Amino acid sequence: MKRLLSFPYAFVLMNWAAVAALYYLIRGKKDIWSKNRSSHKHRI
Amino acid sequence: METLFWLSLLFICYVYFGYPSLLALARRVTSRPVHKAYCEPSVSIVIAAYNERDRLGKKIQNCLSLDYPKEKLQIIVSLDGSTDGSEFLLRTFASQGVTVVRSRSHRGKPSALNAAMRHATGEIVVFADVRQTFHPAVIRELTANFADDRVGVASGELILTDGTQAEARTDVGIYWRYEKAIRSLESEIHSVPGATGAIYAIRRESYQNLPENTLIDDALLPMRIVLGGKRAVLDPAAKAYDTVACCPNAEFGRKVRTLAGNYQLLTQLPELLVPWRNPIFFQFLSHKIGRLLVPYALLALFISNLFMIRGVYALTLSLQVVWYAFASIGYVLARPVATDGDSAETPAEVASPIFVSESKRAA
Repeated sequence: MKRLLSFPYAFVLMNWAAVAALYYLIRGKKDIWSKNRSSHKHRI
Repeated sequence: METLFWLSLLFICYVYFGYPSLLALARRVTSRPVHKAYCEPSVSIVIAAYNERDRLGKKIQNCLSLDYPKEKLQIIVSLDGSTDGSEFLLRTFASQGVTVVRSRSHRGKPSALNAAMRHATGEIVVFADVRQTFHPAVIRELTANFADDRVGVASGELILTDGTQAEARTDVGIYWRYEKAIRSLESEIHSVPGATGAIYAIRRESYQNLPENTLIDDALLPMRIVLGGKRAVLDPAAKAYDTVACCPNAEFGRKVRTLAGNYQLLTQLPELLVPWRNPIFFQFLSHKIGRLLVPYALLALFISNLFMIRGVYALTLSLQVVWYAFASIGYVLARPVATDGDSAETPAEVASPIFVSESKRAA
């Protein structure tokens, strides 16, 4: 049941990431790489 | 509205299902296998690190234990203004041939890579992150691809485990396997439109300095090389391992950075959008650009559906409402629970330190 609910959430969140990414790029954020070093980091 | 609805739906279906199906068909017609040959060229492993003292020791040990002649293997660690004592830890590896490049200030990963490359002597350069663990045969497998003159980039396969050495079957793990399947098909046809940052290799001669503000080196470097006429291939025999993100929230920040990098890539290499300049124009458009546009298509699909609520459109609207309701419940379930004496972070804070930094700055 939890999988059933978390899959739509993951899908929406990953798509929201594309909108957030555009926002950060337009705002000229230059610290994305460095700030993310403490987070889970692997390439997809 | 009807046209907008169907165009949006078709576009979303194409990006997630149509394009992979087309790739599967195209592979049968235009498959180009890589002619691997095992040889032992000199290799430089380049690791850029910022305050990674806790993980560096394990990573260096892993690199030193790889199945490759020691005299042909150079390990370069580029410290990007680290202040956690990484330098002192690395001194213990000096006698084992580990080269340390230090930057006094924190200037970002691209600068760290540029600095490391000035010291690289290997014919082949393997880029790695600190987190992931290499399989012992990884260098042999990656270098074997360069026996094929057409290959300019060889990307390894990152396997996300669930902590028990088994490949993860969580949401993020399943998404990653889907992504790898697409990349594998793209590689067989011509090239992947980006490498796996944790494990990829290039010929040293093809390296060009990265602009300091580059967000994703593992897309810019491979795409420069692909535009130069070489292939970027995925080799599943070269494996690196990492643990899967615990939840979608933890994946979000990384995804934002990657997608921002894809946007930035268009400004750095605008010729990627010119069909006669980009040999993988179709793949790039369908895979990279398509993913960037899907959220807007989803929005258009929902809004256009609101204006049409009869017949089949009532069903599609119901399905969409249920989908987003499930997503909302999933969001609530994914929120961390506050413990005594400690306030719970919001999902955005957990997901992305970018948001933390901004909210603190605003405060």
